Amino acid sequence: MNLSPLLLQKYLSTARAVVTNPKLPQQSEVFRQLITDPGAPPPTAKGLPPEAAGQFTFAAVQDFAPNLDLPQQATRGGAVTVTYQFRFNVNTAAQEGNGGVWNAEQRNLIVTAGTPVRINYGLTGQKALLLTPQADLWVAGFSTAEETSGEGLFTNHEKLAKSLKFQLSLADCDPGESLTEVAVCVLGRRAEKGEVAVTARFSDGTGHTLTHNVDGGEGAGNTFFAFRAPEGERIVFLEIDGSKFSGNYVLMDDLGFITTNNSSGLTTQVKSSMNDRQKRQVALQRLAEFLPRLFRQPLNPQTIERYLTVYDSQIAAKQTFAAAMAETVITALASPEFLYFPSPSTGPESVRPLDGFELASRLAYFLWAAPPDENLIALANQEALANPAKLANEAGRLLKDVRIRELAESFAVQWLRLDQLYTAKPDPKLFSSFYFGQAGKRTLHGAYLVEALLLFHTVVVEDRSIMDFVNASYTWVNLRLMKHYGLTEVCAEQLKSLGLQPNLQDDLKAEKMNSVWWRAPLADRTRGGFITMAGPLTVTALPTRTSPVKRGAWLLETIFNRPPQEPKIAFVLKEDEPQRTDLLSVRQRFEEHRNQPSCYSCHIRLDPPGFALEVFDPIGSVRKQDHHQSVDAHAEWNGEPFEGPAAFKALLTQHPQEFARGFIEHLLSYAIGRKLEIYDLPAVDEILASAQQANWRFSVIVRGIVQSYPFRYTRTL
Amino acid sequence: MNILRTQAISRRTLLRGVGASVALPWLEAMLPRQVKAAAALSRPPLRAAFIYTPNGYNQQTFLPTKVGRAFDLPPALEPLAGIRDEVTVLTGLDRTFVGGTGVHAQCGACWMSSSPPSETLDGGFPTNTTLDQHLAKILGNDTPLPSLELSCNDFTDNKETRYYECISWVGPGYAANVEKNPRAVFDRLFGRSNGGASKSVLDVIMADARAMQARLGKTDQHKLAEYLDSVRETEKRIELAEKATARLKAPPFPIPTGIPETRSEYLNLMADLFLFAFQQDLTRVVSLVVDPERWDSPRMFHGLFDKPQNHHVLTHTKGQEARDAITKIDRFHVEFYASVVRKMKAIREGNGTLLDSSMVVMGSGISDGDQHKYSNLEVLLAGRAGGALAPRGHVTYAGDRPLADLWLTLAKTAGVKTNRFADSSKPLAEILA
Repeated sequence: MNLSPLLLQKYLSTARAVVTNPKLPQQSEVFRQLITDPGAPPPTAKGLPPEAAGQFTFAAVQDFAPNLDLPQQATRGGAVTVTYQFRFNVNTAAQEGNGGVWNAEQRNLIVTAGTPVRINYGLTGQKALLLTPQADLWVAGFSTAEETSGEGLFTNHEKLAKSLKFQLSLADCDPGESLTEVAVCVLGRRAEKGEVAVTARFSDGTGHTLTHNVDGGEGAGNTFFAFRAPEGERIVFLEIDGSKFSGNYVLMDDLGFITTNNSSGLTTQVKSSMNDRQKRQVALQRLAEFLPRLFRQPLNPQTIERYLTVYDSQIAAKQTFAAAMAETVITALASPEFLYFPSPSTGPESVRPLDGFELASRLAYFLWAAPPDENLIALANQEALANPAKLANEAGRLLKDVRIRELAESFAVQWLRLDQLYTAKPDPKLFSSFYFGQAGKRTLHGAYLVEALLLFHTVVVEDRSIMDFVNASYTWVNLRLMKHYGLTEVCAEQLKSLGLQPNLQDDLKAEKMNSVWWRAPLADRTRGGFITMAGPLTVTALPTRTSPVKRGAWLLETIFNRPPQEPKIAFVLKEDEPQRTDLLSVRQRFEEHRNQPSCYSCHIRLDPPGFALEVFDPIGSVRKQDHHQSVDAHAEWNGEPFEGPAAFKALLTQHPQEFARGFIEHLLSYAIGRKLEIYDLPAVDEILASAQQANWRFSVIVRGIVQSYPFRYTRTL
Repeated sequence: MNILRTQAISRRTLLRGVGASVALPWLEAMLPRQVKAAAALSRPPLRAAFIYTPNGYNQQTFLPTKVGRAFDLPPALEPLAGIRDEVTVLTGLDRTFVGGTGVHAQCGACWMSSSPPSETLDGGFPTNTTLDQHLAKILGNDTPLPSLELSCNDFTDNKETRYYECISWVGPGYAANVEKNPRAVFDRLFGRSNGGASKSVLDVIMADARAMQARLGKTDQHKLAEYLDSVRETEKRIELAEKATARLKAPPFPIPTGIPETRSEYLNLMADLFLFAFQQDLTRVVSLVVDPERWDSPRMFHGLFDKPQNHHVLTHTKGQEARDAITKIDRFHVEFYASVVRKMKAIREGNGTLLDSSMVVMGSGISDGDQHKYSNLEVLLAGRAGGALAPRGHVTYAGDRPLADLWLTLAKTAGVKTNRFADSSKPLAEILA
């Protein structure tokens, strides 16, 4: 990576944006402890506040109106958000502690006018939305309506009093937090109809009214009303005018709300019992603990002092303690000590063993793509990591931690070139099944990526043989992928036990069902393993057709780590030559090219794997024909003839060392952060030999890598 | 007495004199006499502006029939009447479309990179370093902002990707940071948003880097040198910005509150902001996206039509009515271009005008919008680039003549040491003075 001035400036402004984000103190305990003014009164241990007389308390839920099918939305008056967006947003907000949904789950409850209903939300449920009705409110179940969630709804208690007004406010919330988005469902009712108007009133005195004819009867009439406060304002009242709706009641359910916090709290002045000198002392202590963790190694006092000067200059500029500490974090994030893995030379020798802290970092970044944890740091302090057996034990521990997920996302994505998956754009006309959803805006990219990562992760977590990468007896699918692969019959049992319906019309519910993944058994090995997975097959295709050469090159490089050489002569495969009347399959066109003597030597190795994969079209579906001709998937590998991908993969697993060597080389190179050189090959041989004895189990390869010479030593020139 | 006469004009006096207009050389007027004399000797710096309009032009009403200085002005070009001696209308330039991406996606994104298919690095998009970013490396060294990237795309619906709305690319897949809100541009020009860098931050990371440098081997030292250079460069920018901020106390026009309501107000405010930045030497390179490619959202062209128009849909609509509407939009954009050129001509600088030391370009990534034609492109060019370029009226090129030849000519004019730009063949000798 090159660090240009522009990139540094962007990096610095990003660091500032991260550190001053209002959510950071809420979500990071470490950061909160770092910036809290040491002289500030400790936060009162707030249990839930005592329930006021007659006050009802509910816990906010995350799902907004789960029963609202193919939802109708009130748009007369100007809609600000669509249902699925609001559903998604409120769900995210609830998870992040700044929103939730009141689902009104109670069979018979009367809230007297002026008494707030308290809806607890936030990461610990400490914060609350107070909903104060200005007339008696009835929380109940109605047999003439279908609730949008559960079995409770809320309505006017007094018959015919169908105009309701609620005051909305936040209690025990974070400083600077305000209510900015609200949505509510008005329910249809059997045999009743008429117009309902809902108005949100904002802190600047303005309001926004949405109206809708709630005519569909029970269930079908259910309508969704959503509001957003203008920038800088908050929502203070919600008014429901059901006077034109027939019957005695106007029914509502699922009040969803989202709050915004524009203030990071860093600049909020706090009462402090400490003077500046005492605080400076605390700042120094905290930096002395924090910075070595951030920089992954012990630091000398001068470095810590340097960061104290940042603190000092902020305090001199009349900034708060929190802001001054935040500034030191911004600085530290841009320091080369954080950004680089320096490899200091310690003497005249160009090769030296890594010290314990360097090993701890190398191990943690290899397996977790994250800084070393406390255990590793402790072992580094005890100088225990120099012992290869100990190091291998630690690798074993890291492999069992949930953070091992990063290995799939960091290593596998690069190894399989899946980082380029989203740039593959299959032609929407030729491959319409790749696109779905509104106007075909959604694609199979995501499902393809997940399938591949799940296979990788399965081998890691279950410590399986890496031969699964080439030829697994299973693959991970969701509904969409199951259909794409034609595995519906194979998966019939699983569908039943998971309660999945493959053909739902409702996009939202279908989306939810598609988030369920399961392992489908593969009797036919046309699938199974990365080589015949839709993701890699799509990455290596062109928008309108397949490219055996690209697929062959991908295979040689990814699977065997023996990339083909660059072509020595220039050649362009002419696209769609108009004068050409004979229809040739892609394979025939490639063979024409390969049979030129100057091209032969490379293509004899490049093409066969590509030809084997010609049974897959550019989006990885199995096809029988290419350009009106039957697909010809026979070729030779290492002198042995085969036909089709299953036979090709069977051939590969007959010589497992070929793939295993390539994989070990890739993983070792990733672990040590450099290209392998000729002098690394003995280490690769050793790892290969031990892995073969252990039936190619993944953990044995990882242990072999971390115990190897290239992993434990560095070369400084 | 002497003291009085050598006193420079106070900013306040000037402001009172010109109201909200920018069109005055007030930086120069601020200089004390001796410096002013020296300033007259040294040539004003070269400035470059690139203005992009989307979806091509109506070919029937944009192409002059006569070539040379005595060219005719078809309906869309009529606004050039007052400045016809200052412009060159280039026609017949070509770009090679790169297969595999949408027909509109690379119109704007690759207009200034002009990269041929063999140079795609960004997942099929030829978004290599664009001309303005090359120029920023040469012209932007001494200004607080190396370049300024502006856009008047205020659509808030993200109908299209960044490829449809970014014309400036730092490198493959790496779009420059575009400002759409005049207020944000203003804040940037006046140093009110300093990004993340501050002096105390930079001092410490510099010290960290120096301390680290001492413990490294040679190879790693080289790598870290790059970091040190970047910190130094950032420090320099901050110093330049501080100096500029100290120089500029009150801006000569009201602080923009946000995005103006009408199209022409929005465009003109953006133009005033970048012209002001030119005059104050806050930056020397600017790009402005008048509107994004495709983006099927109706757009209100105030004063032109009664109701919002969908420019892209119009290009694919049959019939004279749609064609007339496109002509109106083309003409509106040409009028905007002409107004920028007129304003630059009115700003005196040294012995000439701001226009004399600039190059001002306007164009679109396709010629015929209906057919998405990447050949026979039209480009408007004004400014003499300090005497290197000369207006030539209508210049047309038959056969294949790469648009990149124009970019090569401009790059060389600005001092970029190269003989090749993308798929260029040779400079356009016709536009050189």
